[in-house]
Amino acid sequence: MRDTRPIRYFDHAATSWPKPPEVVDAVVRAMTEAGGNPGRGAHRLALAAARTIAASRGSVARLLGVPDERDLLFTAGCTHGLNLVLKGTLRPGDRVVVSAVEHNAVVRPLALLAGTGVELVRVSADAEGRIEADDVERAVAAAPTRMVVCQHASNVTGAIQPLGDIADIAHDHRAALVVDGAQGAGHLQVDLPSLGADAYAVAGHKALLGPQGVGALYLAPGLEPEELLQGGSGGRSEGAQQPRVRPDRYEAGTCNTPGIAGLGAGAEFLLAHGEEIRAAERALTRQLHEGLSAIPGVTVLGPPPGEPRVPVVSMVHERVSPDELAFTLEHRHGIAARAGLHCSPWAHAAVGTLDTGALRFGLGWGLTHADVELVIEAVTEACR
Amino acid sequence: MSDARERFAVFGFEGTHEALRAESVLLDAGEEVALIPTPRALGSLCGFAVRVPLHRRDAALDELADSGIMPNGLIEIGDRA
Repeated sequence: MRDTRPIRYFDHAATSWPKPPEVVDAVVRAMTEAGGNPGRGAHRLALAAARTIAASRGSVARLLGVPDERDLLFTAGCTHGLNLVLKGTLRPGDRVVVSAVEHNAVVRPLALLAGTGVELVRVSADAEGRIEADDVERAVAAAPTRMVVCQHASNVTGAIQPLGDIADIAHDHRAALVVDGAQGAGHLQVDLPSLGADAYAVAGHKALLGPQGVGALYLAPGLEPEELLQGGSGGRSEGAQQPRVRPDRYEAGTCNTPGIAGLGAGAEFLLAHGEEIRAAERALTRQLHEGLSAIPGVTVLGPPPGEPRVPVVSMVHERVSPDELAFTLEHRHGIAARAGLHCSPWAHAAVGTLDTGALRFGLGWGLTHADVELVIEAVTEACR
Repeated sequence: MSDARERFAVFGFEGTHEALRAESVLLDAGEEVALIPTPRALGSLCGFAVRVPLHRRDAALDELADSGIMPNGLIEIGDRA
């Protein structure tokens, strides 16, 4: 039975909700008006599906500043994109410099690769979860390095990493910069050519306001990882080898057309309203950060109020555990937030919360100052 | 009634992205464009190809070249309909 109780949704860092009506409409249209197989035929429904994907690719490319749409690949999500570029590029003997606050989407594929002979060098974060560019420079300069891997922003502390400086360092040492953009794109205005990332992976279902099960990966020209999957691409069918042309090379099998349509609609929504959404998120984040910080016994993780962060506010209380707090907030006040390690044990270890976890509020489109005020009051009451 | 079948030029492309982009460029240029199943004579490039009237072949090639698009194959066919 459908649960119709009111909800204040503060879990945008995991999955944004609700979605703009345009996103929902685009998904439905893809399944009704464009329900053929994209790129696999020339009848009207197949062409409509192919055009849907092409239009979405254009929208996401415009949002991220990608000059050539063929370098923007659709994936099953950020984790898929990161696995593709890490496993497709790194070989035994390669050296990788990686920030010590990465999500398991980076940690786990790198751990697997380390078992094959890839050398990992971790760069520590400060107590607020930020990486210092000078530390990256020292690590990269110490030995020939194939790749630097760093998040754009943390899903635990909200800290924004100095990617521009890190890109310069990586390129000065002929290393590629691979970025986990799961918490960046959408919450932050992203222009990939000026950011300098050689690969940038995004999730469709977070700040890009699309559905789950879809994402995108930007691959700079010249970075040519082996594809993760081989299979049908709709062309060159007589050959046993995967076609080399982008994006087909990396999109084997039938694409998730409804998901891609929704992601494209999310990108269009952000192209139209992104500036106001980001301004609102900053104001709400500051309100929540300051409000929680003023509650006795509460520690908010990450950069102090007023310093840049994405709309992620995680906290611990000296007495009430994060899971207890999450349960109380939902059952007494209808507030949805996430307790635990957020698939980011490295980040929690960096800020000292690996043993306890934290309660995370992920803010996003649709929330109001009244919602934030309710959270502050509810946490105050629960921690009394 | 004329017994002369209309002739067309068909451009084949390596990928769907290029074919759709070619269609868009030619439509913007006012050409009479259709996407058709890729004729076997073009080999098996992407699943659909771009068709224009034969007398517009060279103009279409110029318009594509101006946009940096180079077909991977070109054949002539008669009207299939």
